Amino acid sequence: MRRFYFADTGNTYALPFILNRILTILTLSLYYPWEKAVQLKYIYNNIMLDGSHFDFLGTGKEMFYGYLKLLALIILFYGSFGVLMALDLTIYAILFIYIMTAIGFIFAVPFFIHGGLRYRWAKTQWRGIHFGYRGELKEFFYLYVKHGFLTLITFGIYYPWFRCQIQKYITGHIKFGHLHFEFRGKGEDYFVIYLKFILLIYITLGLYIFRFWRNNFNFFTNNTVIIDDEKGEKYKLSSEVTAWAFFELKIINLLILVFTLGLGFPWVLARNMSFLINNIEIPVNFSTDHIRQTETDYNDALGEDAIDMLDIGFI
Amino acid sequence: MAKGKYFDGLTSSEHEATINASLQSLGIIISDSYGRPKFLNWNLEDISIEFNEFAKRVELESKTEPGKSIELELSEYLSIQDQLPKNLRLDIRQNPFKKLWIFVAISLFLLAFFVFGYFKILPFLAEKVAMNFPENYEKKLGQSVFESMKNDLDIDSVRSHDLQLFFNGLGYDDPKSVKVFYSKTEDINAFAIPGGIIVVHKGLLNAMSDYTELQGVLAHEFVHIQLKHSLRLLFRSLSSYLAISLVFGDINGILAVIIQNSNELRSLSYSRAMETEADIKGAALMVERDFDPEGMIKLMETLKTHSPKMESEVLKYLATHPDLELRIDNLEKAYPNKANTLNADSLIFKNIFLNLKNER
Ligand SMILES: [Zn+2]
Repeated sequence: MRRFYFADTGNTYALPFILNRILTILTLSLYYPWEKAVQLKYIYNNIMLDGSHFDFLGTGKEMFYGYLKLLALIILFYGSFGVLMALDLTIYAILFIYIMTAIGFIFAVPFFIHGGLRYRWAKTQWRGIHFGYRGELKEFFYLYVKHGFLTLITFGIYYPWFRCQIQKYITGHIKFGHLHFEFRGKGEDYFVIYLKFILLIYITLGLYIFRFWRNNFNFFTNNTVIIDDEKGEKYKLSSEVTAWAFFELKIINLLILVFTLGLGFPWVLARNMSFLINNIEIPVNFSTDHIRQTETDYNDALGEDAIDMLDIGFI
Repeated sequence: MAKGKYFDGLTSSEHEATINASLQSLGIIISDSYGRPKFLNWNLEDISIEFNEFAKRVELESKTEPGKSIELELSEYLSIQDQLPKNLRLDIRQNPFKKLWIFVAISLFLLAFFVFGYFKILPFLAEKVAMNFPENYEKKLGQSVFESMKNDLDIDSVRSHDLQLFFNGLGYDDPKSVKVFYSKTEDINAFAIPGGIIVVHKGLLNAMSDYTELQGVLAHEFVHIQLKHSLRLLFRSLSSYLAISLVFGDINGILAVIIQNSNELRSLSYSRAMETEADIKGAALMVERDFDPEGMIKLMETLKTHSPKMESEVLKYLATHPDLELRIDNLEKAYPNKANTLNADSLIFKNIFLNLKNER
């Protein structure tokens, strides 16, 4: 039997999904954080490790404050833009968009990622043992801006190194009780994955995307290590997912969404989660029986929703 | 008696637990890591009992000793539920098939509602908004669209001036409210922008043989403006975008769409009903001013001669402009007697028209 898997096909999420979606629409998206909380609970509660499910302890109310702050930022952004347009200052308006977007990406994004990670991991637990993210905003911010800047001036060539640095920092600061994690991916290896993508995507009429996704997934999984300092052991995660599996996943998901006009989302979500979780292999000698509690509570949901909007998929 | 798993909140070890319930407390027997039994007594006032619907398990948590919890399969919980006081019992209605059916029913209802709203309610609301849109905003909007197209249009200011004189003379409207422009491009076309801007292309003017055709095309475009055709279209397409973005929960997208759309007026094409309306009402306007409505028909014929030939019937059907043939038919039905009623100023119109056609 598998040690790590996703336990649902989507059936149990169908009804909560549609009820919450309606509420979100009726409240002009103000209800969204609650919808999100239910969705995360659904996801976490169906991720099984050695017979026990994960828990997401966050609440819609906690995330609501973060969401309000984000909404205020968006309204402020479009409001200022609207004012400039109304005053016939089109050139300034365009300039405003450029500058704010640049500032946003360089300064606001690390801020949101940091906040999102802290909240999400603090609210994650398994058999009562808390996860936690111990990254420092200042360090992360500096790292992000420095490597982000290098990516900018190299016209994106540096991106694979940037991505690996960020992943290294984030993974390196995640705690699971007394266990912690490490990311060993090297920029140059990721660069090769990217280079192949750029070279082959057009020749294969886009079909290379599935192989790229495979490479991407395997790269991040195979380079993630669980560390148990007390035992002095390291456990490497692994994945052997194929491009064909990605192809099947995405095509069927697309068909489900199209033919159900989006209402099949719960099943697509479950398919995605099953794919993601079931393809991560945990080493046999890794025992989950004696993980010690070390983390404490944390409450600030700013960033939680930004992560969602920026489409950065941290689970 | 129920079997479950006990977690102590200190390590991830799973302890087999046997639970006996009474009206005051839970008696719990766990085996510790060496397999020795250990007895716990949880006061019912000090615990919370919750059903986790996604994990499909019942979770008992100690309020006095945070982190200590017991997890039970649903069937195990049900075996001790009767021993618990009534106010602590969970109200569990776990019927996955029933829930799926409710989902299907709601989905179908939503679908029906959405289809109805999308095709009936939304256009109605959009129409209302368009008709009540403040005039000065409409003008501003039109002006900015015109500005953005201006470079491509290659406006001839002298001819535009003549064209304006021609239009003002028609007396369709208060002369100040509509601006007419002459574009030096070869398109066999003319178009109207909301707020009162009409552009006539050189190509069309040169294809015309008679000044009454120009009276016709200006009447047609004027009706588009007067009846706010493009504004109505704009709000219709905008509202459907809005509805779709709302369903997919994308606020960011909505704002982007609003900004984008106001610049996309040009690519909107009128519906067949709108074109026919502009033809008939335009011709009526001409009759009202003692112009020859035949001009409108001649205009259609000019357009017909110059329109690219459509090979198949299917293509004809798909074309967004109603068949010119059909439009001519409609006009001829509306104005069967082609008696020329001469307007007193026809000579002036004729002169301006010829001037406009002259190569200078
Ligand atoms: Zn028209």
